Amino acid sequence: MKAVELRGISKRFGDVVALDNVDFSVEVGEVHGLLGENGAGKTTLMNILYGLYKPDSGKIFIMGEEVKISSPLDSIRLGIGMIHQISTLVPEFTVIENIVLGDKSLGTFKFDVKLARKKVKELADSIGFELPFDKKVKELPPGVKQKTEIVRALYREAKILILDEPTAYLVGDEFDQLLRAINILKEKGVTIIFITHKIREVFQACDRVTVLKGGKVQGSLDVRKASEDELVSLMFEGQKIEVTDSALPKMILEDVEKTESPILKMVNVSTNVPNLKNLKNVNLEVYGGEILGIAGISGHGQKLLTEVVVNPNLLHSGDILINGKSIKGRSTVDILKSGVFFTPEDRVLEGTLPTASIYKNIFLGHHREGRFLKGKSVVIWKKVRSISRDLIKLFRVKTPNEVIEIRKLSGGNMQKVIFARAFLNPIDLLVTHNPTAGLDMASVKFVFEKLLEMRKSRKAVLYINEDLDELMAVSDRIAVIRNGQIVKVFQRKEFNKREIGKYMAGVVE
Amino acid sequence: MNALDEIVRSIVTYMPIYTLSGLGIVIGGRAGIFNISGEGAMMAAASAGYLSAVFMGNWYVGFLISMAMGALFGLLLEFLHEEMKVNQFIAGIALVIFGTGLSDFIYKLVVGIKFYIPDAPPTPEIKIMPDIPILSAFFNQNIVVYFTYISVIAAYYIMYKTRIGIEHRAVGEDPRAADVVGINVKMVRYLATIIGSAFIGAAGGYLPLVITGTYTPGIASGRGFIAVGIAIFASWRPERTFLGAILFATIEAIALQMQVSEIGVPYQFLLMLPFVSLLLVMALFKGKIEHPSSLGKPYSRE
Repeated sequence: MKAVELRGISKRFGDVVALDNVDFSVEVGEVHGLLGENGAGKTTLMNILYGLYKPDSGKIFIMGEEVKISSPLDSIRLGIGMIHQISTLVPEFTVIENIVLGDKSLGTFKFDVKLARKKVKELADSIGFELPFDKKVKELPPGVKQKTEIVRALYREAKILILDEPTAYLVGDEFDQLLRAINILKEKGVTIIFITHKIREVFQACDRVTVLKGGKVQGSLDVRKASEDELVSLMFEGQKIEVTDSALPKMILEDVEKTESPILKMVNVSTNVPNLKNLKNVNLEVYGGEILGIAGISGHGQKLLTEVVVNPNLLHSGDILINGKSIKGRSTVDILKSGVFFTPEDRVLEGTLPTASIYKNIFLGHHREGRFLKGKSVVIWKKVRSISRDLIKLFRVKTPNEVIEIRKLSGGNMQKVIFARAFLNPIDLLVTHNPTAGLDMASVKFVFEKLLEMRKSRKAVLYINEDLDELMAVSDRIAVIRNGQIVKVFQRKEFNKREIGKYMAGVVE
Repeated sequence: MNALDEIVRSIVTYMPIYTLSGLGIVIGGRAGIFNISGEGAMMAAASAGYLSAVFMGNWYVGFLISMAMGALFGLLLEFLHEEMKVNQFIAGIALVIFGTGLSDFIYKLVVGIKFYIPDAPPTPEIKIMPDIPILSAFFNQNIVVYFTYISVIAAYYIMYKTRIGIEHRAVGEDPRAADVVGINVKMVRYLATIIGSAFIGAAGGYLPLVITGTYTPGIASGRGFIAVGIAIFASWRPERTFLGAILFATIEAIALQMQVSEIGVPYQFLLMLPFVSLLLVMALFKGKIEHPSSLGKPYSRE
C-alpha cells in the first residue's frame, strides 16, 4: 500500500521551474530517501505535500485516496508531520509549549500543559529522546530543537514523517541517536521521507531512494541494490565533476610552502558587543598558503570572529595583526585597501544590495578607486560596466547581462558575483563565512577552486562553515570555536568528523 | 487631601484613554501587526461615537459605535496589509490622515456649522464603595473605567493562560512556526487587528462621550501616537500597558491642574509635556524593551 503518492506535480516560482511533472510514491512503513543537490526541488516537493506551497498542477494521494491539501492544518489531519531544515519552533516559547502549540483539543480558554506533559514524556521516552520541557527553545542547540520537532510531529499523531536535511546541524553522536529513533519509528509503522544531498546518508538510513535533479525525477531505486556510483550518476548526470560520498567535489590540496610569518595573527582577541556571542581570548594564526577552517555550531562567535578582522571598533582587548601591522586605530576602508576581503554569512542581505544591478554590486566597495573616477567623485559608469562584463565572463556568472538585479540570480551565481568583487584587486587575506550555503555542486566546486587558488598563490584564507564535510574538504587546519573560544585545533591528518563534532558540541573540553 | 483626591480622580478618569488605546495596539502587535493608525481611528471613532450618541440619545449606542468605527479601521489596515500588500507603516500613516479627515467630514456633514453644539448624553456611573478618599477615586467611577479594568485583566489572562492566547502570541513571534502547526496566521492577524482597533475606537469615543462631552476637531491631539509609545514601553504586555497608561494619565492630569491653577507656565509647554515625557521614557527604558519577533513584518508562505 502506498502511504504517499504524488502524480504529475509541477511548480514554478516566477520564471523558474522548480518541479516539472514529478511522480513520487512511498510505501507504508519504509524509510524513503529523497536525494538531490541543492536546488533540485526536494524541499519544494515536500512543502507541497505538507501544504505550505500550492502546486500549479498534479494530484496527491494519501493511503490510496486522493486528497486536497491547502494548508499544514490539512496535512496534520491526514497524519503528515514535517521536520524542517530550519527550526520552525517559536524561540520565545518553552519546549512543551511548542509541542502542544496548535492542538485544539486543549480547549479554547484553557491551556493545561500538565495533562499533555505526560503524553509528551511517554512519546519522547518511546524513541529514546530526553527533552528539557521547560527550557525556552532559543536556549537550545540545533540537535535538541530537532528532537523537539520530531516529538511535536508524533504528538500530533503523524503517520508519515518528512525529515528535511535532518543531519545538517547535528554534531557528535546526535546522528546515531537520530538513526535509532528512525528505526524505532519504522518498527511502529511510521513512514519516513528522508531528504538529503549526502549519498552516504541514503545508505545509512534509507530503504528506497528517489533522485531529483533540476525539478525532475531521475529514478527511484532499492537502496540495497543500488551502488554509490549509480546514485552519483543520477544526481549529477551530465556534470563532469568527481564527487565524494558527502556529495562534495573531490578536491586535491597540493603541497604549498607556507609563508614564514602569518598573514593574519589574532592575539588574545576579546570582544564586548551586546546581544551577540562574544569572543574570549582568541589566538589564531593564518599563514600564506593555508586555509584555516573554523568549525562550530552556529552562534558560537563565528559572526564576530569574521567581522572583527575588518572592524577594529569591535575589538575590546587583544590585537589583530595583518601582515604584521596592527589594525588598531585603522578604519575598515584602510584595512580592506591593505588586501583583505570579507564575504559575510548572509549572502543576500549582508553581502549584496539585493535590488541593485550586478555591475553596481561589483563596483560596491571599489567605488573610491581612481580608475573608476573622473576627477575625485564622478563615476565613469561605462568603465564599471565594461569591467563587470569581463568579470561576468571570467567567473562564468549565468546572467543575460550586467544590469539585471542581483537578487534575481541563483545563490551560486550571486556568490560568483561576490567573489568577482573580492578578486577585482589582488588580496592577501580572504575571510569567508558559509560561502557554499545552499549552493549546487558546480557552484560549490567553483568556491572551493577559488579558495585553493588563494592557497596556491600563498595567500591566507579564514574559512568559516557550519558543514564539517565541506570544511574538511579544503582546510589545512580546523579550529573549533565554542562559546567564543577556540577550544581545539586539528591538523589535516588528524581530521575526524566524530572527534571534531565532540568539541563542537562541548562533550570534550 | 481634597486636592490629592481630585488629582487621583482625574488620573483615573484619563487612564482609560491610554489604557484602551495602548491595549488595542498591544493586541495587534502580539499578532505581528504594528498598528500606528490609532490616531486616525480614535478621531473617526470620537466623531462617529459622539454623533450617534447625540442622535440616538443613548450613551451606550455612542460607545458601541465608536468601537465599531475602530474595528473598521482595523479591518482596513489589515486588508491593506494582507490583501493589497501595503507596508504596515505606510497603511497606518494613511489611515491616520484618513481618520483625521473623516472625523471632521462626518461631523460637518451631520451637524454643519452651528453656534449651539449639543452635549453627549451623560456617562453611566457605578458606585460600589463608600466615600473613602483616594481609594474610592479608583472605583466610584464612570462605567468605562470598569470596562478598562476588566479589559486589562481579560487581555492578560487570554494572552498568557489560554490556548487562543498562546496561538495569538505564537503568530506574533514566529508566523511560520505557527503556520506549520496548523494555526491560521491570516485569521489570527485579522482578528487581533480588528479587536485591537475596536479598543482603540473605545478610547477615541471616550474623549467626547466622557471627557469633554462634545466633539471638537483634532480631539485626539496626538494621544493615538502616545498609545504607540506606551505599547512599546510596555514591551507589548497588557499589564505593563496599564502602568504606562497610569503614568501618562498622571502627566496629563498634572498638566491640566497646572493650567487651571494659573502658575504662570505657558499652556503650550504643558501641552508638550506628554510628548517630552514619551521621549524621556523611551530613552530611559531603551534596552529593556522587548518586541514580538515578527512585529511589523509581513508573512507569506512562498
